[in-house]
Amino acid sequence: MKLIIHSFLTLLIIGFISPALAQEKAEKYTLSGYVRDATTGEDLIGATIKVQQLGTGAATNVYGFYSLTLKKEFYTFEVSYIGYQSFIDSFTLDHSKTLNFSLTPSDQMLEEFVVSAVRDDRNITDVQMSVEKMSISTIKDIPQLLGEADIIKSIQLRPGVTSVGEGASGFNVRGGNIDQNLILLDESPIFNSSHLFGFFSVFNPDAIKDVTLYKGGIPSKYGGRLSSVMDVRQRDGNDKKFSARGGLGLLFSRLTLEGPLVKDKVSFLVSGRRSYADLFLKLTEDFKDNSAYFYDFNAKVSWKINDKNRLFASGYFGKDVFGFGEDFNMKWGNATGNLRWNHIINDKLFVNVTGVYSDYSYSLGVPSGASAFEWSSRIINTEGKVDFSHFLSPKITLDYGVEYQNYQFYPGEVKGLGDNPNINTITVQKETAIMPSIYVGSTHEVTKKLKLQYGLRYTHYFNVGPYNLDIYKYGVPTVKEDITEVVNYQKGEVVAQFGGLEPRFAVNYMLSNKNSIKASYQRTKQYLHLISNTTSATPIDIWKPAGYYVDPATADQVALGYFRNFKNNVYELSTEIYYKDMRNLVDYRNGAELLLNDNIETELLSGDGNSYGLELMISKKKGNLTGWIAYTLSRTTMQVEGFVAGDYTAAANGINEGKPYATNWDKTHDLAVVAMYEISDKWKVSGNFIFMTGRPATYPNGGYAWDGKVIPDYRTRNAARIPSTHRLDFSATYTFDKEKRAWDSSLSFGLYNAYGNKNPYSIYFAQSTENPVLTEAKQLSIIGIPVPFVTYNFKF
Amino acid sequence: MKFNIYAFILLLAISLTSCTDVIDLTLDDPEPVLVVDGYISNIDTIQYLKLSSLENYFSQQAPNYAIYKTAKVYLIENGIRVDTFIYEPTTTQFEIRYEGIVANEYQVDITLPDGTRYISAAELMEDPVPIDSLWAEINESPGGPGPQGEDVVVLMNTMEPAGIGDNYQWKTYVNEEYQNAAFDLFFVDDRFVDGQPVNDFEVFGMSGKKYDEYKADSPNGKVIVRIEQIKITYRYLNYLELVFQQLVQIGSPFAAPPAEIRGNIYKQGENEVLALGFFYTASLDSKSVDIEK
Repeated sequence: MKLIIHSFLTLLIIGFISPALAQEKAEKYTLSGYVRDATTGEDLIGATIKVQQLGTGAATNVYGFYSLTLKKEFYTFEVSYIGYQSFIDSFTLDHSKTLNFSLTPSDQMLEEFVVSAVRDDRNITDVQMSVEKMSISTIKDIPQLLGEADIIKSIQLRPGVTSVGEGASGFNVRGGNIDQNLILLDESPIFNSSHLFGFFSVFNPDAIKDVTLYKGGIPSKYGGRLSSVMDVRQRDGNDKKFSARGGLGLLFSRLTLEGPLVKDKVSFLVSGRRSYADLFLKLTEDFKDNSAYFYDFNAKVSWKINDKNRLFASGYFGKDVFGFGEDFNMKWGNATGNLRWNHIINDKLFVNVTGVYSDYSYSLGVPSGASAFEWSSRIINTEGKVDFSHFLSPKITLDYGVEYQNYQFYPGEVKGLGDNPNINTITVQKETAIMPSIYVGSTHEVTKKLKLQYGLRYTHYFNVGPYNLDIYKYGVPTVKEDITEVVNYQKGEVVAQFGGLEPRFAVNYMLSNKNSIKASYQRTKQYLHLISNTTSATPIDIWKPAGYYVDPATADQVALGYFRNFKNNVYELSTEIYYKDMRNLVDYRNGAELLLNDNIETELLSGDGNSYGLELMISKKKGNLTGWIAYTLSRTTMQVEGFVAGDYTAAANGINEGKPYATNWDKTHDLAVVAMYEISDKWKVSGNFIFMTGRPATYPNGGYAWDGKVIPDYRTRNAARIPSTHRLDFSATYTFDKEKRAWDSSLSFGLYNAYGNKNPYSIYFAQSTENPVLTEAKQLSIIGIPVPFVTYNFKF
Repeated sequence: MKFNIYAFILLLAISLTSCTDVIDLTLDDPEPVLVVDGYISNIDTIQYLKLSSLENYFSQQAPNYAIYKTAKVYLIENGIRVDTFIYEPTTTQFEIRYEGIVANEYQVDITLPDGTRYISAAELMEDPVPIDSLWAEINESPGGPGPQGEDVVVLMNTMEPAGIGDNYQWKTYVNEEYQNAAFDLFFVDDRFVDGQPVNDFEVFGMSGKKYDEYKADSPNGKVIVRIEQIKITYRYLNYLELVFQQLVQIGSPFAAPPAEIRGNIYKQGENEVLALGFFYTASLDSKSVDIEK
């Protein structure tokens, strides 16, 4: 393995980088620093520093840092960022220097001073493809359920991103299951991204600075999931002045406070949300003992120690709580914390050192009575990593680093409560996974027209003891009765190990400054599987690490795209086709019992899948009317051939007798139209329309009577489809006169599912409740009526 | 103590959201498949077996139990044919008077009129576990004590014998009417209570309104609830879990996916070809309570 990595690095340096460096041996100096928001001190991610004389430049990394190494000459630098006034500075670069740029938001400027932004053609010039980036202001403009801006629901309006249905937890990217998305909040993994069973995401938009979703061409610094990476960054907090923002909604309210602890050096941000439906429940006689609420809390402290060192400490804590008096209660939530240190080693080399703690847990139970019990489950992730950004030249940036991850899985424990509990304690044994990784990647401008991004990642995965491994008669897990022996592994002893190289490659060839073609290839590996066999994932699903019986999944994806801008970059057109081949995916035996199962491997089946599709998007980026039309045509199937062992014929047959079948999240057509129109300084309206093919469904082959019940007989999985989904939402926002109030405020109101379409979530088959002799097909709609909303937002 | 968490989530999800509409849908007629519905118990009484066929799911007809009335149906005990089920035209069921013996294995051997032969997998007659006591409690509070709003609950005490691997089903009869709706399916394995006294165990509940209806319909004005505590095999427990999953854990965002329910009736000589249904052994103990409200 070492040989392979060494060979790759040699190839990387000798084959690509060295020739490029050799061309640049003249006397050179480096301009480096940060690009920030002038009013808040927030770092700006992806701001561009363009050297007008060369037509080239640099972009800031996720910490707002940039570095440009140029020959000694007179240059004009143009620093720009969407939504900000561009800054232009000219000087002779005759020595290396640190220069921090502060950009002023356009809405803070008097109109006559706003310089129109430089050409926003990064979709043409960037090598990266298959990326969805949405500004928080855009996300806030999109009408959503109950008027609550939602990052995950908004990203589903982009091509290639969908979900199994309205209100479902998680999202699907290019045919991947929801567990194939690596969701990072300030680099901490989030295991359950939903509140209220999936209706809202855990991300508070007031606390978020940047959202980037990689659907393909994933940079080598990311790993661990097959299909996508959603990199969410929290705001650093205003280091200039104290400010607050928040909102009052129908379901929950938000408040964010931020400000300097030491002006221009140390800032803080605290942000919280809480739903309050339970407060109304307490006013009712029948439901006063019930509870149903969620809350979350974001906090961050950013310390600019000096020009070369910065420290960030951030965290998230969220919980959902439900209870029916003394009969039942349930709660779940994420907790994350991380500490990051940015250090500029020299003007070309930036390093970030990160320590991460992430914890997801749930518990449920009966709090009192003879059968009182508590059921709990938990997953803990700790990791440390060091990431280097090496700005070798304006044409080459090298990213490399190492990462060490440790996962502790506690799949479930049930214990009786009280002094003499009726219920025995049952514990499903813990599993431990360790994943060291190393990566290197480069962004390389070969010529003005040709850009490359290439990299390699290697992860070695260990499933380690203590663990008691059951050995089955046929060598494959069938049923508990086939267990022939148990092998005990001591702490740290390796139960199973896997590894694999993950090459990544992307190329951009600019046909002109208005259009380009791009292609990418990526291999990704996933060592953790979400074990969920319900239509929508539930909060009590568990994660299963790869091990003796469960292999890691691997995916290879290729994508090809054509990108074109029109009318001075006011309009953008992107077209991509992709093909993804996936291996060792997990599916489930019929009627799989997944909870509190110490032999869960007996319920799992392994198969392969593929997904291919066409994604089109045309967007209007500027003007009073902005928005986009996104369309995806795709197909995703799986194939589970099963295995033959003993006479366990259900397993031997696999699924659908080993033939390919559509996945639950396969949607042939997916259309989203999003429009936002600024009527005046005070009024803004927006709307979106979606249309989606219904997802695959299984209809009964027949029905039969047994024990007085009519039982549907299902044979072929996902051979039918439920009807299509379509919905229109709109909203209007009135911004109150700023001059007459101490704070900025606005009122948004609108209608979700404006024409009250009963969109099918599922179709199921059951005996009639009125007359059990009759059988019926029933359509479940999650939101079957127009839902009005009103939200008051403020900021001061 | 039902560990049916998905059912709870289902209720929660439905209460939070959703609307349901009956829709028109046409399904093709299936190929005929034999369906077997019966068991042998440890009680000396007439035991029943019903044979029918797979129909269109929307056939809306009562099952035709006479379709295989000329079938030959034998009871097999420890691999030996011991008796014959006889078709009774008045009940359209196959009947046999037989008392299953604990620790013996039972199968049913069916030869259809066309000569096709099916045999069930052997099921062990488990050792019955007695119900120590059974009683009822009336809760007068409006809406009842739980999310399902029971006003009348039946509770029991029993002692679960030591040793993991015991599985139970409880069947309820109200004035000898079998409560056989899908929601009435009640079964559990013993790993949570192994070797423990199981006290104050709520085994049945009904609303006060339902109680009043039973009382009004009863010739003697009584409402008598009889509970059968049945010790079952692990294979049958798995079958019940699948039936429950497919009939109850449906209609919500957290529904289990539709799945084929495989029973234990195989075409002779072919492990792959199954008839539908299950032939099981029921090692039972029974107690009744006369509920006065």
